[in-house]
Amino acid sequence: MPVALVRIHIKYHNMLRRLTGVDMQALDLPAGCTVQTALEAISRQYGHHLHEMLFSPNGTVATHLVIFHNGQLTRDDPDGLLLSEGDELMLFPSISGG
Amino acid sequence: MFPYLGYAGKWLWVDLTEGKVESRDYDPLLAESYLGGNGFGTRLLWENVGPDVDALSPENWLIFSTGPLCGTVMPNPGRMEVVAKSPLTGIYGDANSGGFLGPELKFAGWDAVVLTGQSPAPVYLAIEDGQATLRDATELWGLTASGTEQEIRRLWGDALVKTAVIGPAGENLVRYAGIQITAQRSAARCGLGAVMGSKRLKALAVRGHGPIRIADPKRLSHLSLELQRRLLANPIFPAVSAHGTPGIVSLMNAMGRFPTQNFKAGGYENADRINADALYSRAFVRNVACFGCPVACDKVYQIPDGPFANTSLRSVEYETLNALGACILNDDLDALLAANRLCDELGLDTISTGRCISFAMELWDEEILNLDDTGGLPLRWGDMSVVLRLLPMIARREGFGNLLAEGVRRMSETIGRGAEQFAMHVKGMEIPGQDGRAQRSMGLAHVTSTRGADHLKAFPTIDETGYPDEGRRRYGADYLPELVQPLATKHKAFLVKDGEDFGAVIDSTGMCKSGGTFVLAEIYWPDIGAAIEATTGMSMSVKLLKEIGERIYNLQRCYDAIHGITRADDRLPRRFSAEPSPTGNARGQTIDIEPMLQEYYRLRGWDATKGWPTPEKLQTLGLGDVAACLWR
Repeated sequence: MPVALVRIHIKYHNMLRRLTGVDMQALDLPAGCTVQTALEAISRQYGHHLHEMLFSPNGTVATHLVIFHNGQLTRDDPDGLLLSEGDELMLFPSISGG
Repeated sequence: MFPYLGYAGKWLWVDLTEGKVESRDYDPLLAESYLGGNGFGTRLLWENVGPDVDALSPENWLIFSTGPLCGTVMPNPGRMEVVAKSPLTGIYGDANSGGFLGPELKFAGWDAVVLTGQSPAPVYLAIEDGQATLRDATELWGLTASGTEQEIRRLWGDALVKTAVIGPAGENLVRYAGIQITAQRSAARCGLGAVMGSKRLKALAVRGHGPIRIADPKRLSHLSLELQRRLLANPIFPAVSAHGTPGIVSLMNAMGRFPTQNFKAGGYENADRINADALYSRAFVRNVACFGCPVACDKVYQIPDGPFANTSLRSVEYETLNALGACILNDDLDALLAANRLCDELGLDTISTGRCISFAMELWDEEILNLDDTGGLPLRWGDMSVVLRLLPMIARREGFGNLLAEGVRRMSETIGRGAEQFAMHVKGMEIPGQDGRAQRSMGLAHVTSTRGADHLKAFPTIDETGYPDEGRRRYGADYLPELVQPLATKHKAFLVKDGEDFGAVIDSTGMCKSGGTFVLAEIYWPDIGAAIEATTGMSMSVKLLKEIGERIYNLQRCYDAIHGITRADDRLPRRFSAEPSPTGNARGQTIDIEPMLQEYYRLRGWDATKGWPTPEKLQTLGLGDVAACLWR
């Protein structure tokens, strides 16, 4: 039985863009997926350098990753944040200054 | 005999009216109470430049001041402070620059250079180790910043001479003229380039070959290595190093904190065309660093083709990408870089310049200004052909540029007709690239800064997007989560006060705020205390260091107070409280600073009615003489 998919979009900035080589990508994920699922998927796609930017050594999503979900900053648990068709994630390293 | 190492132990006194240059001994008590840099300048300004002195008169003092850590092996010790009464705001003024000049001055054997008076003809101050002389600068007058630097190098036959120069803007007393520092850095804010111009001082040129003696070299070396290890291990270090401050453009845009169209909004739809990625792919040439900096946030850029082909520059900052980009609705990156370079050559502060232009553009939009006012220049949003024409007009005070050269506050007073409601300044200083509707602490910081609207006095980085790990490490779990939440108000007065005191110390040591103390937030009070002890031999507990920071900041506030500043001046433009932010994470937000401000006065021990430090507070800081003057 085919798995229902949702298509989301991810925008990369700064070092994340350098590591992925793209500024934006579409990603098809199983319905019911979470932000954590999406991060794990791109981590698998782009390898360990990106993984280090997304996850802490203990496997949780890194606190120095800033995630915007549909334009809103979120600090919610990425594993509890469900994604829907057409959702957009923006990912930044949590730089500051200026 | 000056008892502390790390310092040169003497400073240069220059009377430009008389053409005299003298060596003065550094007062140990001044070092113990104010460290150097910012603190040294603040105390001298308090004692010598009173309320009756016009900022552009010979009686104003212009103070170039290094600190005890400047030029040492600490990470990022290349900063120098410039202090004077500001011709833009009429109150306390300072500007800080990286580069190489501060260390070079220490290598030449001087901690500071203090200039007063007015030369009858253009001069520059030449410092070659222990020798300092005033030299004719008639041939340099009128040159651009880089032209002046190159000519001095040619005259000296030395490519390694370090300079601080003014361009035409400083010569023509533009109220926000900056000072350009080797290499293409700026002591930009507060119009201190105009102070230099008013004294007919075109440049400082310095060459030094001497050592800086360290009290405990082994301890300082170990500490420096430890701090460098911590910086390099910070997970955000690669991002800061790769892009510098432009790296935050898109993030701040998403936060709704990227001032757009003269602060009508906090987000720009075309921000991605002027962000770090665009800059990197279009014009990046190579990384460069200030003295002793492992971060190397500075870059060299060059436009490869098109109408501005081969324009090269460095030190492109977030603030400039905002001021000459989003805030005037310009998404033409090449034209922005060309305007940035032109500002550097003319010696204009890009923040204030951009804000004067965005203010004028909004007035044009509101039909408060018309072609008769502007001398035939249409001021349409984003029209960079007009901006590039205006910049030299501002620097030379020609036509409509003469009005813009006065800064936003004076522009609004001159224009009238309701212009003041669009004038985005605090205490006469144009507001830099933050929006308190999106980050509460920045709104408060703009108001409590002692030099008028400014982000760098308090520099609250912890809650820009939320640094929970750094917040917990610095302040403890009790302050979380609110302390690191951009839209929370709780604990923000505490954050701002701590940042102001710590910042005053950093600016008094010669260290950098972007190289680990605020950005990256790895280096904090205990590290600086240990570094001062190891460098100078001075005993420096965290308690003592915090008291020094408080003393400096309170004295700056007292300086403002004797110039008429009260609680009534501690306010943001109406736009921030009356117009909800339309974009980004801050959509729908306004800011009410009153509760935070009340808490701030309480934490500071300031009189909540006048907004001044109380006599009791000043006594505890050893500022009884100041209290007697302020509260007489």
